[in-house]
Amino acid sequence: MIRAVETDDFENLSRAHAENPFLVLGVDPSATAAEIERQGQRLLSELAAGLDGARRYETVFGARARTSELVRSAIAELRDPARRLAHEWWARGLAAPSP
Amino acid sequence: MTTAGVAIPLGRRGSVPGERVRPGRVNLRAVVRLLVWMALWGTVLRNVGATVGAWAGGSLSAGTTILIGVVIPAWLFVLVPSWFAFRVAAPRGMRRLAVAACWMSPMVRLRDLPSIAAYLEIAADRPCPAWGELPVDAWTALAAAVQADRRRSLQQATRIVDALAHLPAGARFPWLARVHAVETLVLAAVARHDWTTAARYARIGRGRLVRLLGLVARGDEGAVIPTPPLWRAWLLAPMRRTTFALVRALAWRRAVAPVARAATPAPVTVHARHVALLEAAARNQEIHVDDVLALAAAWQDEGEIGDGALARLRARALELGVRDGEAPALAVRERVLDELAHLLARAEGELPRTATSPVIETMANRARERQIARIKGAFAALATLDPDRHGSALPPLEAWERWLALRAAWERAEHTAGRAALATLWRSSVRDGLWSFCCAISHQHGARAAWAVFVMFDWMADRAEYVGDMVAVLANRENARLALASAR
Amino acid sequence: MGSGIHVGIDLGTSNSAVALFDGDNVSVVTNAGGETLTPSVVRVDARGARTVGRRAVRGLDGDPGNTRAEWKRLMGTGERLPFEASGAALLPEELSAEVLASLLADVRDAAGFTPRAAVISTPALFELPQNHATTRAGRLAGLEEVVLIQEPIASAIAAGWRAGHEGSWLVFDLGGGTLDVSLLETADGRLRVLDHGGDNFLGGKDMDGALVEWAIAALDRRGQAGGLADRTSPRGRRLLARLRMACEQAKIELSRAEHATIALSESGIDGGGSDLEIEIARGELDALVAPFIARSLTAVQGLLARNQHAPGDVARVVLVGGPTLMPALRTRIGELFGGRIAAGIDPMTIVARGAALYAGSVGLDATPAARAPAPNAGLPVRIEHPSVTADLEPFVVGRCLSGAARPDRVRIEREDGGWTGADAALSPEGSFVIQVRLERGRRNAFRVRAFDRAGGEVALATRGFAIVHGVSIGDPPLARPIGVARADDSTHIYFAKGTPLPARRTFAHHTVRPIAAGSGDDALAVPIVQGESNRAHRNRLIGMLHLRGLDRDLPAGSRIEVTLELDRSGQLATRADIPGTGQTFEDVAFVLVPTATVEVAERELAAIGRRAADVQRRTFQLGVPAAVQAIGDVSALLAEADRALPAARAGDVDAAQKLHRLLMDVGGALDEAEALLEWPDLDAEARRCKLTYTPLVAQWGTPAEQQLYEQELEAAGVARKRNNAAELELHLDAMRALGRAAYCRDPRSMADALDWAAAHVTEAMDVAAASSLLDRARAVQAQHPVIHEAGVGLRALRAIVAEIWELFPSPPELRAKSFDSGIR
Repeated sequence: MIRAVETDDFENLSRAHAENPFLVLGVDPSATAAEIERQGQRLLSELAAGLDGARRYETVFGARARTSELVRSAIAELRDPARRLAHEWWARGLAAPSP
Repeated sequence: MTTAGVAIPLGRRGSVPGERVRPGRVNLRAVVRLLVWMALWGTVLRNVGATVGAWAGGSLSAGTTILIGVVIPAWLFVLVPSWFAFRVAAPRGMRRLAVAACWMSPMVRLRDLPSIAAYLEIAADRPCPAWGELPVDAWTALAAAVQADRRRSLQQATRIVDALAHLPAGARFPWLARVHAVETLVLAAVARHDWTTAARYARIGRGRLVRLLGLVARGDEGAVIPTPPLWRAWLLAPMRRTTFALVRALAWRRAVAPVARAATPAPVTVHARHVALLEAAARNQEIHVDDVLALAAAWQDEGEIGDGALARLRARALELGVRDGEAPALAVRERVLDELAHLLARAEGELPRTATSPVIETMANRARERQIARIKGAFAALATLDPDRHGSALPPLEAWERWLALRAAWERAEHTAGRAALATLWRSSVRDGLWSFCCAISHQHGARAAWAVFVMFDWMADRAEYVGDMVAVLANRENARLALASAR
Repeated sequence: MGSGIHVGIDLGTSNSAVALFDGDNVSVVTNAGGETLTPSVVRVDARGARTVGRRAVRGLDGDPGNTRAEWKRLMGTGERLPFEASGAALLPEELSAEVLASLLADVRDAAGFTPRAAVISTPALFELPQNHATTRAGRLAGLEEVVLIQEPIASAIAAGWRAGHEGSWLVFDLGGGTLDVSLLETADGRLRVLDHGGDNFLGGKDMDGALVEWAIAALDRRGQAGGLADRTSPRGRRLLARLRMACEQAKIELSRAEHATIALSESGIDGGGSDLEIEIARGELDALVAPFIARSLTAVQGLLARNQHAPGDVARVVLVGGPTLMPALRTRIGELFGGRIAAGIDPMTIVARGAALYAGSVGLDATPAARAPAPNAGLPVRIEHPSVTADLEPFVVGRCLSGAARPDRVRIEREDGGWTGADAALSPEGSFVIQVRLERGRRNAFRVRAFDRAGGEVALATRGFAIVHGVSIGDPPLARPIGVARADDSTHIYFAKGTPLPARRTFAHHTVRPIAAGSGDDALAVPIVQGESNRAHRNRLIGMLHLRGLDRDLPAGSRIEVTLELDRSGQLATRADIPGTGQTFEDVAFVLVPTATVEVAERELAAIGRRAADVQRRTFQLGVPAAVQAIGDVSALLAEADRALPAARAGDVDAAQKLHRLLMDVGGALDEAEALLEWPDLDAEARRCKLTYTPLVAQWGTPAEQQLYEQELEAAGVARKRNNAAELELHLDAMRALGRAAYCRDPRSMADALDWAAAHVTEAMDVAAASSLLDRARAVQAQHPVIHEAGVGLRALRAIVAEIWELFPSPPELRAKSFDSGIR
């Protein structure tokens, strides 16, 4: 069996940051768990209904595509308090500045 | 049996032999070429003279004019064969004709023809069946770079370009390759709006088109390019129709919105700066050690990774209901340090002698470890494929690419890992291993790999100089000289 | 959407059950025999006719060659189970499909339709191939759509979905073959799985086995066990099966009574045909199963410790599975948790009920399309909302699908009249988002009404929907991480443990070898693995993505983007894109759980035993407490593997699987310990090098060498202080090389080397040449009996020794061996 691949670390590292759950869901890092769930469900419904507005989310580096897998993954990540801690910390610095 | 630092097993397997090219054969081919040139030139000049005379005399019929119009491409084939090959035949897919035109050109050496043929195949994105038997020279190296760029392996392509930018004196880099092959590369980068990579490629190129594209790339990156020289360069360069849109866009941008460049806001928070640097590295841009160190200092100054920050994280963990807040809090800091070390390992430039803070010291240590590991990895990839040991021949191009990986890893480490560590690595394994590798490649492939072997030995001599191994310097310069002789 | 019926199935090792949920109530379906549980037993007679359930159970006794039970542990192995009379050899998933078909037929009898979709439960620690086999079984049984859910989550849903219990709780699921322990947390109405634990090879079966052994011993004492002399013969196996069934009966009886009898009529066990009876008291059974209970509690406590929970932190314990009815087990668990066992829950059907509730929460409607109510006439509109949520004010999103004749406003009302929303205007793309209000703890039905500009009502195709207010359950999390194996044997994780499914991720990689155009299968493969180890070879290979049939060359270092996608039914889809060529490779590749050949396992066991001994020695020598903890279980696991070996040799597939699994676990523990020992080892090695080589270099090294050595020693010291392993190794290598070079100059070393070569001359690649060289060396030694340091004799000797070394196969090792042994 020939093993195939190495990894392009930087691309994957920066992708991980851009997919920060708070950014994906568009909620403030200080949101409560209930607010996160509600917003997440809303986004899932909007994506399922095919609303255009739900398809992109903003970061300091521009807009990125939002998929239902990303939203689901974001909700689950934020349910785990240990993981939420790390995501909160990064999100404070990465959210797009309000216009 | 070698003993570290004292004796080098030079000459054990004989010095670097080249393929003993039989003198008589080369001369015969060159003689034939010369005779054909003379014959064709004679005919064409007579035709041209007769036509001019007839036109001047005003006594050419319409039919003859049309006939001459058809024959002019044939004149071009003889008079300006390389232009014909790369500007007329190759872009229209007539690769065989292009190779024949190159045969006609005095700017092309006969031995380069197979490489040029291969380059043309690759540039047209056709499969090249004999890739494994091709010699390593500037043409095939650039063909490999074109292929890598097309596959978005930007790291691979920039490695090749970098090696070509630092060729030792004596290694051939034909003018035509510098103009046309590099053009292909730069055009590919420009087509996907990758200005930084295009600028990097353009540095090794020559010719008007490459110069123009280099200007455009630098301008789009943000350098100030005055407009008149830009348009002048455009006028002089070929392929004006293709490049017009680019040049116009750049000029318009400069005129209308000179400060609009700042529209993408500079990252404000240190988190955003951090991710911006990661993205730059992901896009294969050059990042400098100073930038990374400044970022590390910013992290410290803003108190985001110090003990105060840890305490705040622990408190927040309690609020969130995390059972053991210590581990997640530490993990946050670890991630920042780890990513900084990644960046430092990739950055260009010298590390300061003494670390100014414990954070920087940790980062520097990790970066050093990573780089040494990378060198070892690249070296292991070389050493395990020693053709002598396994009996299966490694194609020259692949051998050269593996060496490129080692070269890239080593040169990056020269800045950060420090002379002592590299000296040890050199003495204990790399010097002898790389030497055997080069000898083996030379044995297997002879003249086909001679250019590559020359470059490799010369590089080894430079590295030996850096670590202070004077015996190895002498030995490798000698080896390089021998390789160069057989490459001629 | 809301008026559907949802089906959940518990496919157990010993028994299976099916339940229905209609949005308000859950009910368990009874089979033709009037029971809620259908035994997972299949019998195939000579004509190929298949019987499932209670009627097939009789075949276990009378016709064991054609009856199969308890194949769940073999799911996904590709092991075919033979049926003698019909000659059929069926896969475990085909047997499961028979059981599922029988359950679906029961649903048809109860509800009037055959379900088209169902949720099927699987053990939490099932890996991908096993999950995939379960889905296949569902498809074979006629289901169009299968969603999998882990059994502990199903149990948790059933136990807590209405009640307002908050806090941490434990689900203890002891089934016929496996123990699954799960730690869950309910916070603000959201259920979350914290961790799983358990034992894949501990179950009621094992307790039955212990009882059987006890019974045989008792019969033996009485001299009545003659018929069981040869257990592997067909007759012996049949007798054993009957004895096992009788023991199981007795065990079940002992849950209710203090005494029971293991009774076999006309057993043939004693060699004759007489009836046998053995009396057993509850106390004796408790003593027999005590070790198993202890093991299960160890698993529980391990799980709690891993998650920083003490038994006192657990609010409730839910017991699932038949064996948990044993009073001994209940008592011990009650002791551990202060009696907080959830009451009033039937442990045998809880999983099926939870599966049905989960089907409801994901909106998996089982009613076939033909039976769906005909759509109303009106404007087509799509309405999206959560099916089950803990949020009392969730959002509902809708979009009018037709361009023309769009209504102006939309209003949602709750059917019970308790709430009416404000009118909402439609957006330019015809969508609306409205926040509704739910009534707590029940199914809320809503009506959607649309109005045009004038205020007249517009008819809609979809007039209503329902949302259930209950515990909002996250998507089932992945039990073990899944990732891609890299060239340097590390794993790049795509889906970490706990990732909710469905999930999809893409990462960029680079190839390490060039691939020629048009090459075949073995050109390049991307292995996909599942497991927790950092080392790829320690994880289980679950799929291979092949890059074959490229239409042009791909040089080494080319970038490829690999996408892994995992859906709720355990399907893994893989894709590799090569940018710039536009070529895509897709493969849904599965690798079966490898059936370990016993010979391989035996060799591995021996090798691992030696490795374990070595690691243990080093651990205690270096005194690293973390490593001691890591290898704590290794001895016990190895002992268990030794116990399983004879059964595996005798052809017990189950024991072979267990052996294989144990070897992997031991390997993993040793890897962990070795990783922890790396730095202490290196540190000790550094000290040893310093002690060994410094005097050598001082005595025999040239000035240049001595200076270099000083530098290396200093650099090594710096690296040690910095805890930088890579650098330290580097400098130690240099010190070793310098030390050996110095040793070479010692005249005594030449003599040692020659002696060694003389002793091992037969190992040389060219024995004749080696012998002649040795003769020459001896001649030189005779000529110059006293070897001077700088003398001619020494140089000649050195040259000869150098040539001799080249004749031996692997000079570095040999050199190391002889030098090390030569150092005094």
